[in-house]
Amino acid sequence: MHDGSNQDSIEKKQVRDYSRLFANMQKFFLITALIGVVVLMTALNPRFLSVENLLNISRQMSINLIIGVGMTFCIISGGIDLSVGSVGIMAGCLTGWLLENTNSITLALVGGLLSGAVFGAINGVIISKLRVIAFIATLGTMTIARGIALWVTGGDIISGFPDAFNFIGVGFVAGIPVPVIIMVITVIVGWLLLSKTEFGLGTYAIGGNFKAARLAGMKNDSILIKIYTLTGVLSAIGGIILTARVVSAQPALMQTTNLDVIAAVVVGGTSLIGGSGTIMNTVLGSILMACLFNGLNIIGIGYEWQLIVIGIIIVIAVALDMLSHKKEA
Amino acid sequence: MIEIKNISKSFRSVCVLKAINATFYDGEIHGLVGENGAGKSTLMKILSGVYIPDSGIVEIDGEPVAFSTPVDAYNRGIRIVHQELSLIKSLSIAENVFIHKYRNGSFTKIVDRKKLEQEAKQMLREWDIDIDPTEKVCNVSMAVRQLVEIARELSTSGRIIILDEPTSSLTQNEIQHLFRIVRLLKQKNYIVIFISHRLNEVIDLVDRITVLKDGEVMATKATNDLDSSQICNLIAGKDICDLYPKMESTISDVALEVKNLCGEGVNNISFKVRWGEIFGVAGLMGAGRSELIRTIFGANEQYSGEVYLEGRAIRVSHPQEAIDARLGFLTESRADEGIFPDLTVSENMIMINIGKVVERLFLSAAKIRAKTESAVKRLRIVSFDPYRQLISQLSGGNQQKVILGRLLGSNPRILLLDEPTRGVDIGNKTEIHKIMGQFVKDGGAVVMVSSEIDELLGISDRLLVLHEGNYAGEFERKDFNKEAILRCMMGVTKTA
Repeated sequence: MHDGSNQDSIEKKQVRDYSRLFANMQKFFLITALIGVVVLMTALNPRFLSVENLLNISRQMSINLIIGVGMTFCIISGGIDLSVGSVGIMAGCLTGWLLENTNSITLALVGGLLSGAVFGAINGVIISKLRVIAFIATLGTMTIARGIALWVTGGDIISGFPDAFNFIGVGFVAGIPVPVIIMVITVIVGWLLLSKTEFGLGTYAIGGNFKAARLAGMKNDSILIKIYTLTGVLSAIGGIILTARVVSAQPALMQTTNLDVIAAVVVGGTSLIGGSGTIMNTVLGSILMACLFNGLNIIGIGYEWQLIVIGIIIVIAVALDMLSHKKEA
Repeated sequence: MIEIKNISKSFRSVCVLKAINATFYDGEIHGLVGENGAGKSTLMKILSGVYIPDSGIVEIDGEPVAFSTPVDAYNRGIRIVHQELSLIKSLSIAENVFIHKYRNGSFTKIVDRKKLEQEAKQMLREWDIDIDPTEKVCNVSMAVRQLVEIARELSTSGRIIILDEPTSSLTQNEIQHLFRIVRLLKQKNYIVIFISHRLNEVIDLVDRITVLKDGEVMATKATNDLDSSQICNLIAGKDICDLYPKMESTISDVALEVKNLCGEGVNNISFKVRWGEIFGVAGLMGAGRSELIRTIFGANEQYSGEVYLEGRAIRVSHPQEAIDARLGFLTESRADEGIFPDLTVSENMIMINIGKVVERLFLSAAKIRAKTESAVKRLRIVSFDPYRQLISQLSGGNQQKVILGRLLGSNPRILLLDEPTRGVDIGNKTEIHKIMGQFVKDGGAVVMVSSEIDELLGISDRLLVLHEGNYAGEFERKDFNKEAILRCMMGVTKTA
């Protein structure tokens, strides 16, 4: 009598193995690409693997990875956030404006972070309560946030911040750049939230099957609002770090941050379909992208070729992701 | 004990339930049957707090309860296992079973997966379900998913379990397993409400049965007082219980010949179908039934082998080539692959060979109207306005007829039908069988895959049995023997 179920499982296994093959290729691709880039770059310029350059790479990737942690939650929940760059620079500009007008670093930081949280929460409400798809909702708020950044600064650059503020962007603690320390803390907190808490499980559930999550009594709306608020706050942190790093509030910065961050998350292997992915994926994806940019720079390859290479990597990563999901769908 | 007293419900002045009375006792398995649209789902949605009745009350243990949300009903111990599976495929079985504990999305509440898996393992063992709780749902079969779905409801302290069409995707063994669990529930004094279209099953399992028709209770009876034809009469409300009408047709030359066909899940299959014939394909789940006809139609890749149409070899690598060769294919998963839920009935119907309804570059309203009108009439599709009503608003049976209308619109000569009556009520089921009968009477040929053995025996002229993707046997109508065929399906004896 067990024939039926055995045969069933055999059948399923065959079907599964194809997608597993692609899933493995996906992982394999990421690791090989990373090792390949490191080996190649080191061969072309031994300075690539120096401690100094590694610290440099980690500082270069810090802002994108901090925001990438939030983006990972958005993408796993089946959404996306295009407003991260604009919200980040808006928060940075607001912080700069507050610094100039109040001279209080605390007030400026609180104001900047709060503006990010508010924008994130607005994204969440538009997506969950008004049922606007995330792509369009955040496309709208992206434009609004950029407008506010220009308005606050009057289109100019605000500078002349106290050193204590600039420390956030350019300072070191025990030889490690402050942005890198913030990045590591963000990654650990994000990893704990996603893999160990009820909030994380809810994020997977919403992205895996929105209706089923609702039927299971899950508070989809409030979880979505939390996800986008978190991303808003992390964007603000990124924007403030950048403002401190360039020791001025510049409303035209972070124009392509959203695409860079999404690329790092997706190259890391988190599926745009939603329902799966990890913070570790995003960390690896960010490292790969940062090594590529940095390496191509040190070996003296022009920006135009950097874009072409990175575009190819993104397409391969997404194609492998889609192939690994094909059979399950 | 749960009592329903004089419950009525209308939607936009259409009365769906008319003063329904029913009582469900502790430790009772209560069957609920009726055609699609008879009011079963509405009644269950009232019981589970999704709808609020216009009048009447629900009493639990003599105490009136008024549910205004599903959470109210949940808190009173009512659990519903939904027809469309509501599991989250990217999560593990353990996570799915206990998802109700983690519904608030709190930042600080920790999910202890080890403990979760332990508890899941223990509870699955308690219910005699032998599966690994760490496996992700997307990696397990439909049958296991169904059991997980039930286990999930059992993991909460409910006392009333509503099972909505739980067997529609299960094989015979799996159904028996499910029934064992349902009987265990009865022993533990649960109230089980069991909704199914499959009358034989219902009679086997339930203690009492309530028959709904057009929003009214036709009868509530103990099942030992009834046989399936009596219930059938109550459901249909008329005295025809020729469930499987077999029409006479003239069987002539070979229409379709398949030689050594191989594809995914299909291993070296050969058979011939003649004009005027309904050719059944039987097998357990995963035997390669669907895969076989999908491969013929070009929906799945053909690895090797030949397909002949009236002796002429055809090579199909894309469904459009099959349509051009005048084959018609009906998918088994209507929701996933069949309907366009956001389009109207008429738009759904013309979605094949769209070129035919085009006149000078544009869609021709007149041609669409003609095509829709003839299909609605021919298939007796019930829609108040096929040009405005969305297909997703129709009952399952009517949706199926619209899709049949679509494929008949390409003027096929051979139909490949995968589970043509799955999830279809008895009235429409009979009509679909008649449509098939008429089709072969008019000189066509039909290949029908079904998991319902009675349906296969009822209307097929010949029957091919598959087992694990291989040929297992072939039966002529005069030699049909249910037991022998079942044995053949399970691969016990090979009747070659």
